[in-house]
Amino acid sequence: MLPDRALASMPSPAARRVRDVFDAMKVATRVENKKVLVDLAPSVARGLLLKEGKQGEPVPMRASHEAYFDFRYQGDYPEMYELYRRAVQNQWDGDRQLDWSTDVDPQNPEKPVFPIELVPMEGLAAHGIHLDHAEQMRFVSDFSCWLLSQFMHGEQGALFASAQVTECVRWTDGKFYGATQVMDEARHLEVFLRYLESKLGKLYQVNDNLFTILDALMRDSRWDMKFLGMQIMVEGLALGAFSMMYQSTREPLLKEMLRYVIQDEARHVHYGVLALKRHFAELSPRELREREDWTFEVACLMRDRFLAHEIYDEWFAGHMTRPQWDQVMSNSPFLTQFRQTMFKRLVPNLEYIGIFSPRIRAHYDKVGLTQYAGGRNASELTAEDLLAA
Amino acid sequence: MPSATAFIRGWFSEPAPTFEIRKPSARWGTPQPHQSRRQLRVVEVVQETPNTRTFVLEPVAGTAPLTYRAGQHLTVLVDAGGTTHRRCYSFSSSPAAGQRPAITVKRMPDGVVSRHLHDHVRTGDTLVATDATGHFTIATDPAAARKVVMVAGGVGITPLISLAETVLREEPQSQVVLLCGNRSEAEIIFRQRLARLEAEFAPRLVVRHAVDVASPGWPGLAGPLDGTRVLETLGDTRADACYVCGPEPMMESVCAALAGAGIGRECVHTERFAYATANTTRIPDHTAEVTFAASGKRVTARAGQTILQAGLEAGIDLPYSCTMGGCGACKVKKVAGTVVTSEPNCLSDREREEGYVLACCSYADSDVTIDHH
Repeated sequence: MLPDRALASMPSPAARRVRDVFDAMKVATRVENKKVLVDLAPSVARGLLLKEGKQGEPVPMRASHEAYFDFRYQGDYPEMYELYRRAVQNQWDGDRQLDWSTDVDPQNPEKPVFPIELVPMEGLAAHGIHLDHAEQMRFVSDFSCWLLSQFMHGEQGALFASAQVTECVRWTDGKFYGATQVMDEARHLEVFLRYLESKLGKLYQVNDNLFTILDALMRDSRWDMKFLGMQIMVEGLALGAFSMMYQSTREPLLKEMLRYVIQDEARHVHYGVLALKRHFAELSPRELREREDWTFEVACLMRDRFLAHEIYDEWFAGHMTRPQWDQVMSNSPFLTQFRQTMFKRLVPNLEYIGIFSPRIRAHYDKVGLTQYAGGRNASELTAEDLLAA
Repeated sequence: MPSATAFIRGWFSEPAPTFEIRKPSARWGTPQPHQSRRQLRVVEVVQETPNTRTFVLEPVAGTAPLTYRAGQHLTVLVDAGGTTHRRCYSFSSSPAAGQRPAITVKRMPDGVVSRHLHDHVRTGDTLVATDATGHFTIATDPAAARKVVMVAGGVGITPLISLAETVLREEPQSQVVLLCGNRSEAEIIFRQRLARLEAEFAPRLVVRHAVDVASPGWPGLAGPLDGTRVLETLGDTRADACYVCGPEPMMESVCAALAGAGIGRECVHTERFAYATANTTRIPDHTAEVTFAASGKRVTARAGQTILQAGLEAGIDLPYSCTMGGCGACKVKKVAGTVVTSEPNCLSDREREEGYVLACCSYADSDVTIDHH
């Protein structure tokens, strides 16, 4: 625990950096599995300490995966080929099919981008912060921009990861499908960017923890880790989050946009589940353990770390400490629901593809995530799962 | 090591803001109103029957004229509860008569859009709609001398009165026989207008009304207007073209009777109010029965409820995944009845031809049988 009084006596830039260092250490100590820690440490350093995503400069990330050529072109995965055909047939055009002439006012209470319940009123009040109605509307607007910005950054990651995975994947039918996903991700990036630029007018920097995960996925040389990280975890999170956003937004253009995006995302997760179920069945117990451990640690990172520090810096730095903000966010109804939705999607998929053994289940149990086990995986989700988000 | 330099600098200077105010990039161009969307002003509202109203429309100032063909429909868009609801309503006006475009809408108890139109839209209000679409039309020829039979059930009269008047005005030698079925006398839509047209175009226009429940002294036909009744009333079943629009059971019965009377399929045109063009779906405003053939289970789908929702609610183990029409997991084969399916969705053209539908985004528009489960 950092003594807040000690930090208060430091110049604020230095205090902020000390916090960053402690944050990185907290992540490092949180990761129990040393092998995974070694894998993630460089990305944690680049994301949390060097803050490479926030330097306002392009960020080169060296990829070291192996492109997999197969000149035999055998038809080897009919379900994947069918998914490919569906994807080809259902390419949509964001420019033509979305009504960009729609007037969007993120502070319009009649058609809010996100509901005002997004504001963690009680948590803020506990620290003596009271927002009037206008401030709440502005906060919701900013938070909406932040959230959509993070999804946009995630889509950039998904664009590159899907391109890499297309090179790596072992099945020709998987490569066919992968190419459609690359196009999907480009379109998602396009519509999120366009929405943020032309309707909300504000872009937030990439969150350090999201950067860390993207960095780790981009640089990992193992194709199935990229696949696992992007198709199952990041896409699974996205599907849950988009469904939740789709349910809660009252802004017609965003709602329509999310409807299109969700249709694509559902396919993406389905693809990941199909590919990894078959691949993992062929791995040795040691390799499977490695993937289980990695997934668990990344899942915890995703659960604990999506805390909108960029919003804190803009709104509340100086009014409350960052650990206090973390507490407010962690306990906020919105993030609680967000986490629930995310893990409700994720855990059943992990079970289905075979990386939820009794050994790792005990770890999930310790952090309270086994409650989602036994749910339906990507191919058998209940209507309530998506509609009620 | 630019990032290391930045890291060191970060100890001594305030960081840059975490956000950037952005102007729209030039690459997006100037957004144009959605191609198919337009604004129409309501210039008159006419109460036709206790639950049916006609909305007379004109384009808002400065926009293109609203052109349409007899028999076509307008898709009206209404934002309610955070969702844009789309419903198709046929033009009841005739472009040949020089009338202002008008749609006629029956108020459905569970109909989001029809209730909105009836309860909230008044003269002077503006509606958002797409351009006119639909293929339930007729190519008129001033030299033609043909007999056209039209059979309307309830609000199905809407496109037919437009077609009838258009044929009569544009084909001086053609004749029209129009049979209209309604539940009761009070529900007859356009009764006076039809009488006026009959007087104006006699003997080229013959109109016969049938009501399910006839009051004493009712001069028309008593009993439901089904296929048998249609053939009896027509007597001479020779016809160059037949147009049928109304509730599904009536249409099935009438089409079967016309086929039995030797009228070729190519001569019979039907409008089921049950098609979905891209991004345009009229979700049925009524309940319908869904039968799952394999198990024999029969469930009632409520208005606005998908086949998937209805099946799951009844405990039928249907496969599904995204529930958004994106993954195809809920694909089932329809062997009877009519459904309306939200577009776009992932079904291939071949699957559509083979009768497959996506349960998650399909709504029963008549009693439907699913060959599955």
